[in-house]
Amino acid sequence: MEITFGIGMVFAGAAIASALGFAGSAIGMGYAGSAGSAVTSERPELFGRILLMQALPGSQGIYGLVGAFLILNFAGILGGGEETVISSFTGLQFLMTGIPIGVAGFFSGIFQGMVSASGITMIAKDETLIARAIILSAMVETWAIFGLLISFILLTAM
Amino acid sequence: MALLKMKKIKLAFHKESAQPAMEALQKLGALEFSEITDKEKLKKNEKTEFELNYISSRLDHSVSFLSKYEKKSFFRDIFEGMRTEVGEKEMQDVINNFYYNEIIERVYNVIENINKAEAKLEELKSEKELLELWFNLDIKLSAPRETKNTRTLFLSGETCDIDNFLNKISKDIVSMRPNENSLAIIFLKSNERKIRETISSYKLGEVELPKRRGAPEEECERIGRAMKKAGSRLNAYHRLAESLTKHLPKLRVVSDYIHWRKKRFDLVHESYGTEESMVFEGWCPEKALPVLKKELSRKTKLFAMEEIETKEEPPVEIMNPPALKPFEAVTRLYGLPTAKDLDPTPYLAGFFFIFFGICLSDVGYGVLITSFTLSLLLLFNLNPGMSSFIKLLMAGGISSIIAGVIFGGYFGIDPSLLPEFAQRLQYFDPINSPLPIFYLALILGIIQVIMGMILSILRDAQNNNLKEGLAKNIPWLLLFASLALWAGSSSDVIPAIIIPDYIWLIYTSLALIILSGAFLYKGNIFAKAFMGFLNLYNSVGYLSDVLSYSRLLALGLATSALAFSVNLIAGMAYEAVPYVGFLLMIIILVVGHIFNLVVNILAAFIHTARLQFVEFFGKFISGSGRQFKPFYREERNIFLKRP
Repeated sequence: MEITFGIGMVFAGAAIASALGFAGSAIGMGYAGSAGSAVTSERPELFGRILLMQALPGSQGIYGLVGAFLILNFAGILGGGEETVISSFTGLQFLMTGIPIGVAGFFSGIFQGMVSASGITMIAKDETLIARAIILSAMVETWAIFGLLISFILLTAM
Repeated sequence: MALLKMKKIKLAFHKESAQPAMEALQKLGALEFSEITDKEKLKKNEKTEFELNYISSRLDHSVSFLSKYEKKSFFRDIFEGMRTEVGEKEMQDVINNFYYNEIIERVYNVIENINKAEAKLEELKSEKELLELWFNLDIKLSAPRETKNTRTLFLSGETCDIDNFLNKISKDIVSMRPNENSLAIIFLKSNERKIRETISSYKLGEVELPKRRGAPEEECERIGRAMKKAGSRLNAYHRLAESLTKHLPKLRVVSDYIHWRKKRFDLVHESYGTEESMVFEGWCPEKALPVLKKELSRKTKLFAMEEIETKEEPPVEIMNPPALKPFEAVTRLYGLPTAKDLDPTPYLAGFFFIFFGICLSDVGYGVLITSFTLSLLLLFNLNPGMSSFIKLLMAGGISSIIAGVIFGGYFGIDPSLLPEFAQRLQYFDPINSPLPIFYLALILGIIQVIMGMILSILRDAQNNNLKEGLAKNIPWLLLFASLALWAGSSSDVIPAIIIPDYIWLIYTSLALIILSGAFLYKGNIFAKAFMGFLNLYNSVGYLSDVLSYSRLLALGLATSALAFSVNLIAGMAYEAVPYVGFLLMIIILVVGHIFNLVVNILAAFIHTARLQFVEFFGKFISGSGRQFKPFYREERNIFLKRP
């Protein structure tokens, strides 16, 4: 495969989609995790539920991964033939498709982490509230999912 | 299968039969006592309470102390805990014939001696550390620190501070400096004030040396000898403790038995009663009531039992056939459903099985998990919670083998290098064409979300709310169905002959959604209209629910991508490093794949569980049920052989 400017742009798109999602999830899970360790030290029996709450802001990273794979797949780089030719303009389009999931994942990951952290303190006080804590946290995730959706629609529209 | 129906009952015993009756109840473990709040409770006998607590805590302490000395294999310790297996009859024998008081006395003696020896060692060690700083001091420690006219002080401080101090005041003192940071001085008491002021102005600290006989050097040696002696004494006590571990199995039996007795005692005094009788209230599964009655009547004739009608929220317990039992762990992790909900376990089991497999999708890893969990189950006597979790993991392993065959995952080896039969079985290719799996994940998501809606209708029907349940869910089910038809026909999967234009079906379901939103809201006509249109907004929720299942694709991909990279790095090591390359390759393969396996099991479990909790449970249960906690024989230090 000859590396052209267009292909470079595709790579940039995949990189934006995944790296921003990963970073957002990492920050978010960090917030939730530190709240979780504090609660676990007091009530170790809640560890399972706390782990679940901490895992919630991890979705953005996964959506980023899905996005990156889809971009590489649609561009024909994954599983494509040897002669993948991508013009600079098409490459730019691929770059753009990485932005919705990347940016939405980054910010929603961070904020979902904050909501998860408060959810963990909520569970610490009353563990039967876990369903509500999950719902509150999952509301934030909606926007990362929409990011993924738009990225996907942009890809199919090309 | 499903939630156990609970009944609240009232039990009355004659006082004399209370003990055997309570014993029978505890053995059966099917009754949760509830506190009686509106009547005056029976008084506790404080002396008995004190004695029970005293014996129980001494037994527990002895068991936990001796357990440290018991030799057990590492794995057995992790998976079984420090417990002794015992049969019902054996237990009775031990309780009747074992004189534990004498053993406890001996154990406590050893504990005390060990504590003393350790404290002595600690004291000697800190004295020695202090004296080592004054090692070269040529004064006997027994020499008086004070005479009629002079005083001796031992000082410590920074090197330069001591230098300056000596320069300033050397005329008035006799000094000895065993090392850079220590100084012994002798001075006339008439100068004391001046000297003390100088000492504090140079920030020197006064040191209290231990009151011993000889000079520090001599004493250090003596302390060394004493430490050796104390150390060997400590060792002797440790060996004594080790020899006492032979009583551990019996002690464990007694400690649990006394613990149960204590629990019974606590309960008896939660009841109310008359001079001759005792009355209890509690929850019992309806199915267990006849057994309860039978067991009680075997012990005593003097009891009465009746059911009570109550509006209280009953405690919740779920019960499933053995094949589904492991999946209860998932439900319990979330929290039990309330008495009005359905037990989600049978409905989530299939999805959990499939999703876990897709998330891992590797035959090699699946075989590893299955064989590991199977050997744990065969080799160890696991407690019920642990064993059901291990079985859940084993189900995940099996599912991962199946998914691995379909997705062509074999330790991340490139599918084109696989033998032909494996290639023929492979139906999806995640790396080269992820899109079909993406769609598969979404379709599975749609199926589970629809299932959730159906269960929501069932739940409402069970609670006499069928109309609302239908109004809430049917329009959405219709929308899903019509969208599926539309998608099917526009991609030529379904021939477009039955209904020419599916778009009208979609419009109809949208209209129904608005109408149902209006129907469900209680208010004036304008509010109803507004809520109707707002109901359309829920489509956002359903859309995000379905898209969330795309994580199945991502997690499966992540497993194979990581496994692939481990193989790549190992291959590079083999080619690049001479002589030991092969060894290095093996190490990288083993460590890398184990790491990948552990990380991905965790991710697969958490995300599969999350799909159940957020996307599935959210539709029909709340998870705020109160766990049924029967009065039972808690096996802390033993496990009873079940016949």
